[in-house]
Amino acid sequence: MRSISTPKLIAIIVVLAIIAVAAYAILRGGIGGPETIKIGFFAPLTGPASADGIAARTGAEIAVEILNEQGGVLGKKVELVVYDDALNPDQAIAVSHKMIEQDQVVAAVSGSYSSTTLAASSVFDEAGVPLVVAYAVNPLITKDKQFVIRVGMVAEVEGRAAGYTAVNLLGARKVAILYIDNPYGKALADNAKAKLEELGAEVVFVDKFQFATDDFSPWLNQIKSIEETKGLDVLMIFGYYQHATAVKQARELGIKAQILGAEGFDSPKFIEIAGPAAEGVIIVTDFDRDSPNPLVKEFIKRYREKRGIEPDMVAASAFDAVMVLAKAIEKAGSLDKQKIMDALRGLTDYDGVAGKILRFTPGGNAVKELTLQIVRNGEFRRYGMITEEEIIVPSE
Amino acid sequence: MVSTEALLQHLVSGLTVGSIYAATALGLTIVYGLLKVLHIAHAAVYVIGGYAAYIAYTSTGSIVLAVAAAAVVPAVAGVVLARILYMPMLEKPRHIPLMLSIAAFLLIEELIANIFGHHPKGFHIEGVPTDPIDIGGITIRPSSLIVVPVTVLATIALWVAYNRTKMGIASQALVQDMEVAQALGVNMPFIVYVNFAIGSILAGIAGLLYAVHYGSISPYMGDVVAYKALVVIVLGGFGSIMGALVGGLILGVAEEVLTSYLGYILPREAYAFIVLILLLILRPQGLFGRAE
Repeated sequence: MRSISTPKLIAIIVVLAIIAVAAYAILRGGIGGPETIKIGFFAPLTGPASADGIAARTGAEIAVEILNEQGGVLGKKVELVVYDDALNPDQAIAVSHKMIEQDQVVAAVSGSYSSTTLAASSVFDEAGVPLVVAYAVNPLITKDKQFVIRVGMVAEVEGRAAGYTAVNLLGARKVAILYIDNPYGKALADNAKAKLEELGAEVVFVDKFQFATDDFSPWLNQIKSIEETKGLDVLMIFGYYQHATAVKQARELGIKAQILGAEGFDSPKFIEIAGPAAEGVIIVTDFDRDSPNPLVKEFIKRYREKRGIEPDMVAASAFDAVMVLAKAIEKAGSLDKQKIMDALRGLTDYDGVAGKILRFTPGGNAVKELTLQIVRNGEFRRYGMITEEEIIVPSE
Repeated sequence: MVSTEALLQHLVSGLTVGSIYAATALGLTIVYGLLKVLHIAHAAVYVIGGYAAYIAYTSTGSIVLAVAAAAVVPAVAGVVLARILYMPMLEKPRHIPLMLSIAAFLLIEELIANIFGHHPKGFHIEGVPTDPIDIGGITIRPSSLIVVPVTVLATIALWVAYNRTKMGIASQALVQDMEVAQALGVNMPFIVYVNFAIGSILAGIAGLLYAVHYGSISPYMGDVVAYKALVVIVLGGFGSIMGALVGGLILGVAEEVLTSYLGYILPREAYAFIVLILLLILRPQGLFGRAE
């Protein structure tokens, strides 16, 4: 082989190296500007909470579709980078790192529960990447964080609203509370109880159950006994759709009190599992199926087309999280993460699918209108709205 | 302090839940007696029963077909498991079939989750009443009147089969001494498969009973049953049919009563383990088992 002179060889190597680096950078979206705006997304797509995870993902996907149909954000298409956390906090941490370091997302949305979101929120906060939380309720998720904001309800507000609803809208004097033994359930129960007692009602029974509970008779038998001897107006059950069986069991045991639930029951799965017993159950949530907002109707239509089932609060919240983030990026006019965060905090009057967000608190939580939905003929319909500031403003 | 009515109410609920445990444990105890193997995969057969019934019912609307599916499909699954996992491992140390059984259990659950979805499905059978039944001041859920009698009848039928039929006596012979029984002409593989089939039918029916009582099925519904059925057979005595029934009922009632009155101390599942530990300390052979 004829030998190449040394200077030529060096020149060839340098050119090849530049081409390699440039190709790599372009493929990763670094040099020359990204083709798309990458938004990270994580949810429990597998495991016992997967119905909610898949619903949330669908909600986020619909938001991205609508955004891209309208020209994208800052002139670029939005790309959703989706990860499964399997409702496992360690996995949530792992995928958060992936989103931040490998995919280099501009920001991310949590479509997951509190346990996983709490773990992820620290990762995002430390990395200075904005995280918009769709529906996880644990107050610690936003507390003392610079880069985390929440569009969904906080447990404190929901619990207060439940107490307010029971006494002022349902006329209850005696209330029983059964709640899931985790921060969500506890916060709901504590706040509901405080509000109930403040309004002069009597809490005749309070107890908690584990996530994996299927047989609720130990508590329901006691509640039934109380209903027979002392009387009972409202039975609050704070759990997730998996615990819809508690409603079925309560009715089959002959408990007649009005059943009041919260956002955990806001799912077609709740109605499916409770069966006929779901009829008449009222829940405190933020997704109003009967909202006059055309965005809500469009969302419901697209969701039904995609999945053949009714949308729920988690899907609606994930949709709003993506939309709010998009609005903030537009308002910031850049992909600078601090600017996006400032724009998020300054957002007001977003009339979304999961209710109207009036503003955000300094602590990063939404001040939003709540709705009461009732199951009628196997569907959730509007029963009422809660808009009083004293109820809906989170304390942080 | 606590009224008789309240206690009776708890008793009824406990007996119902206990019956579902017992129905599952019956199959487990039969298999343990024969092959000395802890058939953890039995809990997966239970889940298969629930799903087979669900598919049969939602596609045909027939309760009869749902029951048939809950019996037949698990029976086939159980026999297949016996053929693949246990028969080739008869001579091996006992922990090998145990590990295979656990692996099969996890595999089957995940397969079901991936095919049918990870989340629970509502399963309501029309024609099964849902209104509470009042008997002497106690309210009984109508499903209790299905679950408990079915389990008790199954236990009695099983007991008769084991003690009064040729097949049953042959099974007992195999349990006592497999080699000698075979030498005397007992067709070992055949009898083993029959036992697996019967045990699996019971598990499948138990899965259907679960759906009737709770209104849903899920790929992971076997998780809790997997260890509770074990607690039941330890409580009742390995290989004892009556022990499985009594053990199951006692566990169900104990859980119900302890959770009601002491629930704030420990979660419900912990009580099953406490019972297990106490039993192993005080009477390791169980209520009806023979002392080794």
